[in-house]
Amino acid sequence: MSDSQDAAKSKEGSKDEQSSWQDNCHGVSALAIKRLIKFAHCKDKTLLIYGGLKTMLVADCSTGSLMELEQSHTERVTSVTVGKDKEVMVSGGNDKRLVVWQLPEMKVASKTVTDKKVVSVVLDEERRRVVFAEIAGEVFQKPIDDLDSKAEHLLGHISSLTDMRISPSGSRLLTSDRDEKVRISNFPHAFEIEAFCLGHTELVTCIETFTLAEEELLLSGGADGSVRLWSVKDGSLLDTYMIDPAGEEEEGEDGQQADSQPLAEEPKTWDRFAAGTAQATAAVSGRMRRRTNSPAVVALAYCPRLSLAACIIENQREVLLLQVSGKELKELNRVEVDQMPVGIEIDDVEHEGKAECFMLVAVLDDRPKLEAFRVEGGKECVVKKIDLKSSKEESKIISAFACLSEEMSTRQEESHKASGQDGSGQYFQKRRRHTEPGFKQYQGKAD
Amino acid sequence: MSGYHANSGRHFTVEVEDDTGGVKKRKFRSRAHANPLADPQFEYPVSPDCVDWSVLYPELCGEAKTMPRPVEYADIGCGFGGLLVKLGERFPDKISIGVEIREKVASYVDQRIKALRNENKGRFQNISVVRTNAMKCIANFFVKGSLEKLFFCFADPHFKTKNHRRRIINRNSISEFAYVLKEGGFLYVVTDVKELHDWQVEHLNAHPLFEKLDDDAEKADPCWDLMFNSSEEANKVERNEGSKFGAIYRRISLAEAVARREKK
Repeated sequence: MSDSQDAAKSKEGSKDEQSSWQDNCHGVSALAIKRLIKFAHCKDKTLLIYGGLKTMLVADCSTGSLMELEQSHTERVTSVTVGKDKEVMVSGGNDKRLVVWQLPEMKVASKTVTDKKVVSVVLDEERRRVVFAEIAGEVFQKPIDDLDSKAEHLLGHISSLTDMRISPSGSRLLTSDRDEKVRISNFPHAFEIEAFCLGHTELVTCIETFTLAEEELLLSGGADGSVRLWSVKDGSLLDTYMIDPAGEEEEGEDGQQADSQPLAEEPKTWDRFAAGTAQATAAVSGRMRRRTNSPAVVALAYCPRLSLAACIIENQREVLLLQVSGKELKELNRVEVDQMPVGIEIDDVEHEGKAECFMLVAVLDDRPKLEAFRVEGGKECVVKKIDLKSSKEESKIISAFACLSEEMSTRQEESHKASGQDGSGQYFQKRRRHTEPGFKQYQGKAD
Repeated sequence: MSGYHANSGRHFTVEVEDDTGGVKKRKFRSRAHANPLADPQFEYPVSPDCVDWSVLYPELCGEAKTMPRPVEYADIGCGFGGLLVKLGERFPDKISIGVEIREKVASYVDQRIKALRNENKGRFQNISVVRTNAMKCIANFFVKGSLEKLFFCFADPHFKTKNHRRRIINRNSISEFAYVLKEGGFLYVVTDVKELHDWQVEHLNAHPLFEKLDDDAEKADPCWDLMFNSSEEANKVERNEGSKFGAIYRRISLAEAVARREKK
């Protein structure tokens, strides 16, 4: 009798677990829609690169027009990195290819094929190596002069990787994954983990690293609706900016347990707090965590001269500008955009001898296009929108933006909704096993 | 019970013994396998500062609800808790924890420990069990370099090649274990499956941060016998007259690891 009761209760337990398990997929859509838009600074000019759905588009800011490129990438380019000597650029994308380009002519120097889709590429200047992160969780390196040699395994996460950066000093490799962690590993000895940045309560979508006041800092955006500032030295959390403070749980109060969401309705009769039960694991875990209704951060960009971080948020048609200062993140401004933002870049471009800060937002509803803004630093952080159609003649830079934007919208293959139909969204989604009991009732569950 | 237990694979046979004050094993039967790569179906702490240790070690934490020192010994995949109990007895001054991914088995161990604590006043306060996925969440529980010993006894062999990345010792997880182990800390592996032993030794040898102890040092280690003979799995292997293979590794510092690499 008691045995059959146990059997029934165990089935109940597994159903509850399944519903909280499904919540784990939050943030996947943000990863899928992210697009690359980036300035590549060469020796005497700047290029603007856009990772389109099927091809890479490059505009030259000194001539004000698009550049002709050799056929190289066949799927979305997810990451581009420029060497410190500004002569070489490496790009990697969802077509499982790495391409090395000669700047500034954008001539293909060499290509190679990787095992899995490439999430991020960085360059190791000292040892002349290309370090690339694959979506499956592994990071490899190859010498830049000999891309066909066997890739050397550097490190791996027990989870999918979402982004990777190398610290400005080149001594730390930073990788973020789907398990809410950012791992700070020693570089080049990446097997030694220096620290973990633990604080996000949903997957980490993007990271940026920079030096501020002689300290190496890290910014991370997560699917839990927060942008966090960390110290690269020890992985300690310096500040958190919550996008939606209304839904915030108590932060920073140790030992206090927030109101528990009902994880399991009935405590099992044998022991309420037997270590395996949901209550027990939640009790040991301290504060409650999952906030699956929070808006996910899609992408981050950082302007070093103004210490400004710009970030775009899923389902919100605005760009958030944050002032980064040593130990703190402060909201400065919110800039509205017309369509759904999918990519962001904020950086200085040399223009007639002086540096002007431009912010570019790739937006997409049906067809992608660019929205450009001039950013002036200072306390109010004035942001002026540039009307690309009318100011085309103003300067070569603006004309470059306009050309790129036009090309983006007119290309046939680019037209589709902002829903990441190139398959990478599917990769991050959990694959459900069809033999599980109760599978059918969760199929197609919207939230 | 009839619809619930599976008879396939490495399934724990049930002895309905009256062990440890009436906690019957048969109520806690569960599948022998759990996929460690799947997203966890349970809560885990955001970071080690969030862990409420007083839930696990109430007497040790006392009124202040803080641990006197961090956990020192961890048994990863503690199963039904045999080794954990022996660790608690043999090393009363060290705090030990068992990590188990299967819910029912973790509950069994918890009940067992509670029963032991009730019957022996003041003893067994230094052992506890937590249900979590050691491959994914170990850094969420333990501060860098806080553990002194890590035990991996009779781990799931995951025989199929496509499942090899689920093995608890693989090239990525070893880095995380090195992170939570302090320099000079020890890592113990024992198994009855020769192929798994070869795999574990190969991967640990290949990892720069671990150095294998030589045979004499291994035999001299106080936990060598313990790990071979304490857990329920070990006893089952004995009964079936199988052979066991073990190894002990020491976690070395980064500087030492780099120096060794350069020597080669």
